[in-house]
Amino acid sequence: MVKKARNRAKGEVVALVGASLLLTAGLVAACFVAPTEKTMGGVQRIMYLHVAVAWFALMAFAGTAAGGATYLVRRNLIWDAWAQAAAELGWVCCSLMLLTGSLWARKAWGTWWTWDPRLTAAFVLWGIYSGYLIVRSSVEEPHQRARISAVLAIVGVVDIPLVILATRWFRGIHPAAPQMEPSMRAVLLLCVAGLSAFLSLLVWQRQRQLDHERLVGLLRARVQDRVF
Amino acid sequence: MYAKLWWLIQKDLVSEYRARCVWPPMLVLGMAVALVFSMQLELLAEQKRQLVGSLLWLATFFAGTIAIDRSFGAEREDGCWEALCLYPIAPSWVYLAKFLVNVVALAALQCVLIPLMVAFSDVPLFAHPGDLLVVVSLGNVGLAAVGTLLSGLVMSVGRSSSLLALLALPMVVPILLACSEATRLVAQDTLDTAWWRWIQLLIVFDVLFITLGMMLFGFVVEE
Amino acid sequence: METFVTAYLVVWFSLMLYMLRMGLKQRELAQQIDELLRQLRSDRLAADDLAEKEDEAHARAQAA
Repeated sequence: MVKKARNRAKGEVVALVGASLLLTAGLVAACFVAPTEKTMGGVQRIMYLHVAVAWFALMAFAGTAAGGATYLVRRNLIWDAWAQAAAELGWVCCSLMLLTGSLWARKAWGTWWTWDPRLTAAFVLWGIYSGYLIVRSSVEEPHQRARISAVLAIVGVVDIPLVILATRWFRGIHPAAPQMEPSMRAVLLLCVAGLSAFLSLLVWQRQRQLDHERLVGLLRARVQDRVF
Repeated sequence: MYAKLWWLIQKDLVSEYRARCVWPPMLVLGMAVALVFSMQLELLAEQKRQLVGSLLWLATFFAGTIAIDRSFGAEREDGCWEALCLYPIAPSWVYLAKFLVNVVALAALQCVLIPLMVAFSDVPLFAHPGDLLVVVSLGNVGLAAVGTLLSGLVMSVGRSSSLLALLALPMVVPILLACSEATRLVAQDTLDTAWWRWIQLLIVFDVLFITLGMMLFGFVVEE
Repeated sequence: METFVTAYLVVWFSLMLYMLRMGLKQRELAQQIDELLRQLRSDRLAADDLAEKEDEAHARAQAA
């Protein structure tokens, strides 16, 4: 039992170190290996960060909804912990996507923000994430919180494709999927893979932490009520 | 089943008719928003045609939120909700009834708003009444479908109404965009494929969210 | 290039901040578990104490 737990902890450390190395490799490659873009220069290197966090923000929202839906079927709070962990890190990544995009836009387009379709869609995603977290924080009872937030996440995840569709039908200046040098594409893939791996591990750890938090709460209630 | 559904709708409409606590503020807010918009905009006729769609739908969203927010408010008072839960009907039908009441409220709001907009801004919205009716009804159905579900959710959380607008605004962005654009195209007399594309988006949205609402409402009100 | 470095640092610091928050939460959890154990142990001692006294009283009653 102890040996098993120790092996598992060792596996976690190995996975975390591996993901960190992958992420570091991606970021170093983004700084030094990737060729400098002709028109935009060094600023264009933001892309490697921007695309990676944007990718994870979208994936995490799908994860949040999937966790919520699984909770609604199984009624096991562990799935709600998954949903919350994914939503927290997704919100962080969504904010980072807006921030890095804004920094890049300042240099490339000369403005911090425009109501371009993709930017609008990103902002809407951020709004849905924020609403989700606000609703979560305002419900105390764990099962009610899980039910309510699961419904909200499912509605949100169905909404996102429609938002993207509707906003894209306006003309925009944000590149959809631009042509790229093969070496750039390789570095981008490395960055996306590294960040996704690292953040997925964080989601996993956070989900476990949330579960432990709930168990400690239960235990404390029982100790205080002298129910053993 | 339909008799029960009708009973639920009738109950809400009658109590609103007797108490008159939701529709008047909604209508007054809608009129105020329309008035402020048109007073602020000293524009050319062509620019007004460009803008009228977005103004109409923003006013509808903000005024409509009042009605949608109250759809479960009355039920929470005096234990009406518990009584409603005892009524032998599935939650998805309660959702459907509340949704239809909200559609009626939004339609009433627009019966006031659209003539007002036409009078203030002199935009020929009524040039294609049938097409405008299609846009308006699809838009109202979409707003009510999302709004009713979120309103039930906010009620069950027990939070204030500002939360509803906060949650609903990002969710209804596709409807607001599609309706504003479609209304603009009606006002500009260009009912082309672009108009039809927005209508299709609205239809997809409406079908999707009514289905979702009926499926998920049971989870929202579960005790 | 400065903009890139800024973006890089922003991402780095936010992730660090999140991990710091997780770490603090973890410490809090560990403290709570310690406290629970301590409470349980003192409860157990008190219960043992009580049982001992009762035994003594019982023995005294029998002797009398």
